[in-house]
Amino acid sequence: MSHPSSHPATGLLRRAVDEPAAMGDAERAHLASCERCREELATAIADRDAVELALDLDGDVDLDAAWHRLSANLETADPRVRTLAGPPPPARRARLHQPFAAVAAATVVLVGTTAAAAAVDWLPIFEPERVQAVTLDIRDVSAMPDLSAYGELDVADDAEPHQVASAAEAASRSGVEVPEVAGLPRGVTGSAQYAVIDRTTARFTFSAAKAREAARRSGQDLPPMPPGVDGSRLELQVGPGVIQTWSGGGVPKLGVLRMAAPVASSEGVSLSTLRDYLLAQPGLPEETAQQLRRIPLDGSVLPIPVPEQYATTHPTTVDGVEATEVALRDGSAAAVVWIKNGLLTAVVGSVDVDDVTEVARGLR
Amino acid sequence: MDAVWETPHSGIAVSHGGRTGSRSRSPAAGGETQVVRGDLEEVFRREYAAVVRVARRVLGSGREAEDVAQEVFIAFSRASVPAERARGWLLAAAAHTALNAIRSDSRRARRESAAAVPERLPDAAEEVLARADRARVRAALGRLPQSQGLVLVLRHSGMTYQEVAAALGMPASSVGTTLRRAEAAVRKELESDESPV
Repeated sequence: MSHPSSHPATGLLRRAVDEPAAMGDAERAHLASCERCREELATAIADRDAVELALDLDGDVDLDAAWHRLSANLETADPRVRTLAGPPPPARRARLHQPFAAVAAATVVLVGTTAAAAAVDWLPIFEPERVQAVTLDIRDVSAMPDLSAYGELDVADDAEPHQVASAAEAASRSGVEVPEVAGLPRGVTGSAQYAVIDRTTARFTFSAAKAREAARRSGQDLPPMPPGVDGSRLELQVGPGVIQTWSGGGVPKLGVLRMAAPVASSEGVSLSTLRDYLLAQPGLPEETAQQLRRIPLDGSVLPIPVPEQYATTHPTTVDGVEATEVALRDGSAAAVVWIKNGLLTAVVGSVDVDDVTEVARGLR
Repeated sequence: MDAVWETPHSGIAVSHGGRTGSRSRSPAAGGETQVVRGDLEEVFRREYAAVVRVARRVLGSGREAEDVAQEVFIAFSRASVPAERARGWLLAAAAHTALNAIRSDSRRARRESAAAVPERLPDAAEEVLARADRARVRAALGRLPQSQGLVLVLRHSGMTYQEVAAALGMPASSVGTTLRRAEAAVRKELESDESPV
């Protein structure tokens, strides 16, 4: 029981801000005559308003699409629903869980664009949590069908890295923290250069007509495009990310890439249909197809294609997670790649593989 | 006496009084059979937007909020929380799961804050500011004690004091005090010049 001369409890005062009826006549009478309580009330109102403003974020939801997504999650009984940032779950889109499509499409997106391309020439896509090497015969790679034979690629955003002045600017522009290198390998000196990779979206639209035309030109028998694939889209998102490079004698000697792990989603095509279709294409080596089939289809593994004539791979550990070392057989360059907390990091250099791994393990 | 149920993902403990509603079975991976409550779609269509709204206020990103909502409804689909308590349960689970998401790993939180930027903003300066603001809010929420964070988020998502108390199993008289402390702490964080990360 409050007394008019006693200060209302903090909680009651706060509640009265939202629900004035919560305060009785005695408290109201006290408030009218107590400057301290009025000040406290004013502060409570200001705090509430500040928080409300900060949290005031509303938006629309697509209920049907959300229900469709939940139903799909329940059907597959996958309790590990997406809880990390990935591509927006596009309305009425099924997520892609098919490695080869990801490999092929990601390659088109990434080749020649970033330091990542130099490090791991074929950077495939999923919503990966770890990396795994997939060895390829380089002769088979050249014989693999070109993605352009199956549809149209539209890269929506500028995929080129942008040079920036500092690590702080790189972090600010990308939203990705720039890892700090503890020490440089011998032979690598000087200051780092920084670049930012913006988030890049690419969409690939399957075309049965293009596939037929490609088959006609090549004289090969391509498997027919299954119903539903023609016109369906594959969406890929890469980045944002940051790149640090160190040069020696005007030549890049070491690079550290950190970016949001690439992700992929598909539209209108069931996962099994897409997998069967793409893995049945001529030119895809059976051994490679088998390796890809062995990769879990939960989208958690990022396969890193490695031409076995030129490079070796070795599993290692960086920052407490699985990583993959890739070393050119002639010793001229090496890289180590890993994913942690949705961030892909690659350390690449024209140095020994032990050196890149040491740099990787020293990142802060 | 109500039992306490814990979601598999959020770790949240929510009171409930028993099982209601018809339940059906759906096939699960690996040949398991998992129970999915029969009133799921009805509850989903009624409460989904509110669940997303709660998570969005914590995470600042509609996309991440919808991910959290999916996780919450998957847990709910297998829960025996009574239908009449579903709303409070769902909103509390959403707040809890979203708060856990920003606490779980500061590096992950930084990545998410980057990903939380709307797709189109008028200019780069505004984009940078939006990111910084969201990072500060998330950092402030992440530093709150869990009970304060839950009360703050649920109240600022529109729940009444009684609803917040019922959803969290706390005395109604404590809601105002907890909320007051939380708001003061968040405002202080937001007004400080301290780096969000």
